[in-house]
Amino acid sequence: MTHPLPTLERLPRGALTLFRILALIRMGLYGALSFGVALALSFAGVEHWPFLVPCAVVLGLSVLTAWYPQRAHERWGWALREHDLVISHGVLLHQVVSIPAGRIQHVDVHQGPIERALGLARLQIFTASGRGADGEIPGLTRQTADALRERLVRREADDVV
Amino acid sequence: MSSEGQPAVSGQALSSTEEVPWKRLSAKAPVAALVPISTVIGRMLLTALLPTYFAGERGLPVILWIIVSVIALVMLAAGLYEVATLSYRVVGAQLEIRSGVLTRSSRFIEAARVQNTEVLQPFVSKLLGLVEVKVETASGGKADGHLQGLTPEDAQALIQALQAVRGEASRVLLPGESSADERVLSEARLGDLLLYGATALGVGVLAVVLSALHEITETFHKLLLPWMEKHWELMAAPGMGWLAATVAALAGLFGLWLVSGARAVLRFHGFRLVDTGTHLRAVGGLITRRQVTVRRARIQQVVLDEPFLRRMLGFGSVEVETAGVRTGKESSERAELLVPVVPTTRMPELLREFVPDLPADIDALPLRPAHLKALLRARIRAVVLSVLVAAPATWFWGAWGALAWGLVPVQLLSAWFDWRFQGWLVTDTLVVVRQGFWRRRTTVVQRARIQSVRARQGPLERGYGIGHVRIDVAGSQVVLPSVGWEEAQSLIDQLPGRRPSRGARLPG
Repeated sequence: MTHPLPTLERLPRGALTLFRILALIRMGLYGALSFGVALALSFAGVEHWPFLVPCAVVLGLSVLTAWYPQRAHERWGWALREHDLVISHGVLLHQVVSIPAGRIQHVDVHQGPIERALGLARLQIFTASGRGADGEIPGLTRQTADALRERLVRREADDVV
Repeated sequence: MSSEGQPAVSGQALSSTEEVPWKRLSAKAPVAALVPISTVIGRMLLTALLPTYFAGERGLPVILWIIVSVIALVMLAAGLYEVATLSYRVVGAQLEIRSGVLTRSSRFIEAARVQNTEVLQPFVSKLLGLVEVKVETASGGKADGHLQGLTPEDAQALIQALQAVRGEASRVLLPGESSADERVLSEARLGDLLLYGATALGVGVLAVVLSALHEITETFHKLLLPWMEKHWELMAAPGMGWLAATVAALAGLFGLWLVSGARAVLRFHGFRLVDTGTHLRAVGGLITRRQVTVRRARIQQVVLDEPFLRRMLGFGSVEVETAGVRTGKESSERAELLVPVVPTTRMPELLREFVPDLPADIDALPLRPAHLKALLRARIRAVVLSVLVAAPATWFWGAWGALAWGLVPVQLLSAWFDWRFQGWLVTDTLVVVRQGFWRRRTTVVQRARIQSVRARQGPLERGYGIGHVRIDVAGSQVVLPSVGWEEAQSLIDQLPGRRPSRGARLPG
């Protein structure tokens, strides 16, 4: 069997910037958190090693930050087909999701402050399965996200449940 | 379905809004609600008060106690007032519930969207001659309708009105009633229920037994200790340790069975599942009587739960899931409808009531085995897990700890069992998944009801070139045994049942 997946559309270049910024923010957050823990430990009377913890955390995360966003950006892909929307992503855990067209309940377009600054948007697709978003595509350009949303919701609703 | 009621109703509903009178709950409803509301408030305040109680030397100062009691009383009064002022009506194709003290809120539940209705009769309500009605939709949780303290006649009228909107005129019955033209699909006697309980050892039972054991040892500590000191020589005799351990283990097991059996009887006493044509209705329960009505067309997933012991005793249980979302630790708690005891001989017949397309003999289905590499993966996992347990055990307890290495063959064997007895099959209309040998569960999903399908591949699975597929239906999900990654990717294309006549296509 040849590769059964259709050719996937990749995320725009801006998405990589978004992933990098998010990774940096995450690094800062965890760094601050571990610094707090180290501070608490040193106040509790532990000597010498507590401040190695935030150093190790930041070091480890910065290696991840250099590598992970690039890979994640390469892995994200989506394809809109006749019957369904296919989303593929995941660096460690590869995932391919297929959401049949008739099953989509509603579609959200989200824009956080960073995404707005970069002109990007995050698309969330909900079905009746009832556990949050079934599919999610981050880092689309605003135009693509809006066009995709239009095409996903503009059709005859099926009996979905 | 979505077009079923709306266009016809919109005009009519607008004109008749003024005419349909609001209905109130029974006058005794606040009395019936007293116990549940105070329980909720009590639990809430208890978690807030306990830490302060243990922290302070003599608990809280008096003034704080007064404030807390005032808060509790206000909350209680608000809760009762809400019950007393709650009103509802069925307008057009919708159930409208109006409630609220300071902020009035109205909730509209479309009759066509109702997944199942449940009529409950807790103990206090039973004394007062009232019932509770729960109306579940697919949105799950808080958005559903819950009317506490209806008179049985009103409850009957409400459910009948909801069904009439959908064009289903069947007589609605209350717990304890029965009608001549219904087929009884399943009944459970006391002995059956005890067997069901004895074979249903889960997390919930363990928690109950452990907390009970803790209480008992606390209480009897003072009584037992002098006796033990008096007979110290006897206790220290050789072999006594083993005897005590065995007795304790047996007593623990017996206790587990007892609690589990009692829980089963409490939940299912007098269980009856009947077929009313378009609906399935189940009644059961000793103290709280519970009646669940599930629309046949709303069944999403059917699970056959047959642990080894149940298979040996010649029965299994069936869990029926609709799109209603429930929470619970065990899958039997999450299921909307649970048939506790079904003799193996009657199983195929009953299953076809839930899933008409099911082949005659589900045990004879040619299930496809899991991928061969999955066995390798399960074996490696078994060995790693056993080593992780056995190595520290040997380190800490020496020769006795080395016994833990016996885990390796046991785990290997059980890995093989689990791999060997799982299987999956995709027919024209159904997906059948079987998992486990000791706790065998067979899940049947209708392909037309699939909401989304995803193929997943973890880093270890990538090494073996395998992956697994998860199917989501409304309200539940099922994971298929491992298959090759290529096949997993093509399965997400093939699985969702397409109905070409409906033309659900994406434009462009």
